Amino acid sequence: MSKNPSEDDTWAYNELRQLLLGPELKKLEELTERLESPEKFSSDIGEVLPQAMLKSAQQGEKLTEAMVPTVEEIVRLSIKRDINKFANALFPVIGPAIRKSISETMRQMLQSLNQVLEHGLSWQGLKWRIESIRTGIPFAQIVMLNSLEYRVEQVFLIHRKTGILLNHVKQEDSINHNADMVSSMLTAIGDFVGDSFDVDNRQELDSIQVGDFSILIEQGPGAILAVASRGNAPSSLRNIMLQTMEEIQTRLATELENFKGDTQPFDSCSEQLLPCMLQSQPGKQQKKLPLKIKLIWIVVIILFFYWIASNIYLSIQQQDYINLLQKEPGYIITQLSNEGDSISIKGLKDPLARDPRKFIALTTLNPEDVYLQFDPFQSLDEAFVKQRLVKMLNLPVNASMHLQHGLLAIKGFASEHKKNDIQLIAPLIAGIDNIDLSGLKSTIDLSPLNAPDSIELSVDINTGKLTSKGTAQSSWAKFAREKIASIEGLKSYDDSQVKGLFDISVFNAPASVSMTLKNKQLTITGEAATDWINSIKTVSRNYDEINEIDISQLQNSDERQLSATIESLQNEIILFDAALSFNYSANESFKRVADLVRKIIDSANKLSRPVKILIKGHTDSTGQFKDNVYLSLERADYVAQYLFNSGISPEYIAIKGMDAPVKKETSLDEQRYNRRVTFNVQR
Amino acid sequence: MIKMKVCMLGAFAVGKTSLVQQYVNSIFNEKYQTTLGVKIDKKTVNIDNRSIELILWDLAGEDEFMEVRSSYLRGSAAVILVADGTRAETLDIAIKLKNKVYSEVGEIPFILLVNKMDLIENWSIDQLTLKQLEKEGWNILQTSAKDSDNVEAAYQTLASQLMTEL
Repeated sequence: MSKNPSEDDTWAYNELRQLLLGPELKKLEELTERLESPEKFSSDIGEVLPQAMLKSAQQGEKLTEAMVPTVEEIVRLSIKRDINKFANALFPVIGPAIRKSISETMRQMLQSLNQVLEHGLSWQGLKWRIESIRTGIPFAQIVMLNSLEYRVEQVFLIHRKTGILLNHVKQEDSINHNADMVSSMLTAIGDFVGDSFDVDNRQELDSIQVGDFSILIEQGPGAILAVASRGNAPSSLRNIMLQTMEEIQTRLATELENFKGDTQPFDSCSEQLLPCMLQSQPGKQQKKLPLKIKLIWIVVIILFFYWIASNIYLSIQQQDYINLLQKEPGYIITQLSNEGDSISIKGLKDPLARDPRKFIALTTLNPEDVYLQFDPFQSLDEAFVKQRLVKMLNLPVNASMHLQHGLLAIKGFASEHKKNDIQLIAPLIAGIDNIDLSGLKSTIDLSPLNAPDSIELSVDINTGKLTSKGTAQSSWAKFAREKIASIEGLKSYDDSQVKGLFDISVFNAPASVSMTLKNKQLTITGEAATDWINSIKTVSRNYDEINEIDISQLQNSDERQLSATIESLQNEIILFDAALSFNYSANESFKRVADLVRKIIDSANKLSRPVKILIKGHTDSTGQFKDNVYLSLERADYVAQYLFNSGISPEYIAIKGMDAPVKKETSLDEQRYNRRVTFNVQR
Repeated sequence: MIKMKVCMLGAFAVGKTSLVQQYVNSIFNEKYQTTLGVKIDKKTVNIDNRSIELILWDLAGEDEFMEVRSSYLRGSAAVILVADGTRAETLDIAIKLKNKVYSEVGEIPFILLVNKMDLIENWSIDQLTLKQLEKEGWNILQTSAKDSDNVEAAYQTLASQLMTEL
């Protein structure tokens, strides 16, 4: 059976197509079936969708942006449908977020409260209170305004996993410790706190506070943002940090994820970190001047003050110098002028005045800066008038002058000739109005000297010098020398030309002595003390008029007195009781004996004689011989001890115990009389 | 700039701090090591005209009372293990620490410094053991912090190793 040709063609075509495209057609059918079957199609998309979304997120934010409205709608619908589901899902997140927010707010409130309390009682606080009264702003508000000072010093962007510093910005003047090491250390501290205190791993190190210095830490998934600030940072800083962290995290998520040590991609973050560099200045928000300009201003101000100070100092010095000149006698200043550092002084100067340049040394002025021009004049200053008087009058030394208010008074002695000269010259000197010469004498009264006729006296009235010539007794020469001082007008005395006659009275002999000088032999009779005898022996050698001195008939009064005293002592008897006990302080004879012994020793010493006082002790005839000898010695010693206690040296004293009574005893009285101590002086 | 975190690990008193002392910038003193268990130092090494900055985390020495904090190891690019040649047990601790690093951080480059070469006559670690470790792929240098032997070389070797992995 043959087929219709068109049917045949169609069959053939289908056959051919089956042969050529058979497998592809089968696949096409399967694909169509998968696409058309919602179950299969959604299963396929479900397989590739997560991968596709990941890839799209890596390439940019298009997918995120596209999904935002859908996600927002989903969230809205979900909340609308069942609010509990969403609340349950957010619960673990919302709790810590609220806690964090509340604690941050509370911390800031407490800080502000602390500041208010701290400043409330201080000087600063007092100033703020005045400001509050003046401006009408509440005190608390003023404290808040002034105390909220802060300054962010450094911002660190740290790779979270490695602790490596990715970027770092800081204030110009903040301390530059190595930021790499600081950032690693910060990470280590975070780890340390987490490990050591077993902190919930969802909570992380949030801030570090040391005094007014704090480090705020914002943790992102891939990076950490640490902001080091001084003072009370505002709460807005946290928000800025959060925003910065989010921006960086969004922009550089891949780089952070795949970070292997290369920090270059993060160099561009500096600009994003800069908004964190907040700072405030209380009160005024002035723009800070650059350091260089500040320094220049400081130097200019210092120079300006130095210039003013040096000018003031210079003008003080110049005025001091002018004052010195004005006070100095003999100067009249007529003109003053200043030219820069130099000063010009014109005026009049007395030739007798002191050199004006000498005073410059008393100031710190430079002598070259002082121009002086003085014309001569005669000053009427009394000091200068006196100087001129002295020079022109040539006053004798024996006269003195006194000048006051133009009155010249001259006193003393001057020759008539000199007196006439003064009367002529003095009125011619400027400054002398009157002269008084009533006190100026031209003669000196020498009568008190009572000079013998053999003496010729001559006096120079101008110098007050008296000269005597001739012969006179030595006594007169002596008298004249003593008298001269009491005669007015005499300044000096020359008696070198007076030939002295010897006068026996020079020896000041006591009344008990008589002296005769014959053929240069001085014979002295009578009685005199040792001292006078010794002195005359020495003094008489000085006189040529005496060759020999005879004192054979001169009695020594000290010798006589010594003998008399010795006799008195040897007549003294001190009686004892039978026993030795004896209250010698009550016994007058002890004191008398001590006085006599002292006198004997003094006289003997004066006469250079050796002396020894023997104290002899005696007993009565009763008792044993041996005991009596001992008792008599004890009695002698008893008296000796008294003398020693009275200040008498032991070298002059000797004691002896006598072995027999002085006298035979026939009665008790005689027995008592034998118990005695007696004295014997050996010389 | 390339910056890498490198941890220095080893038993107590093997000389870790001495090895870094003269060759690095330090701003923190050793009290940090006793309080926090870590001291941070920095060493810049030049390899083929490229600089690499090693941020050295000098961790407190491990002993029976103190264990290295795992959190400090996180993010390390490499590790310097230090053993004391005169104390064989310190090599065991180094091996233990290397294993700890591998399990905590992964298989990162490391170098073993057997220190106190100046006291080599007193060494209790024998060279055969070290050879065996080298055969196992360990990179070992014998150093002396006292005489500065091989110290600079240790940083150079580690830095080169890190550079090749970049």
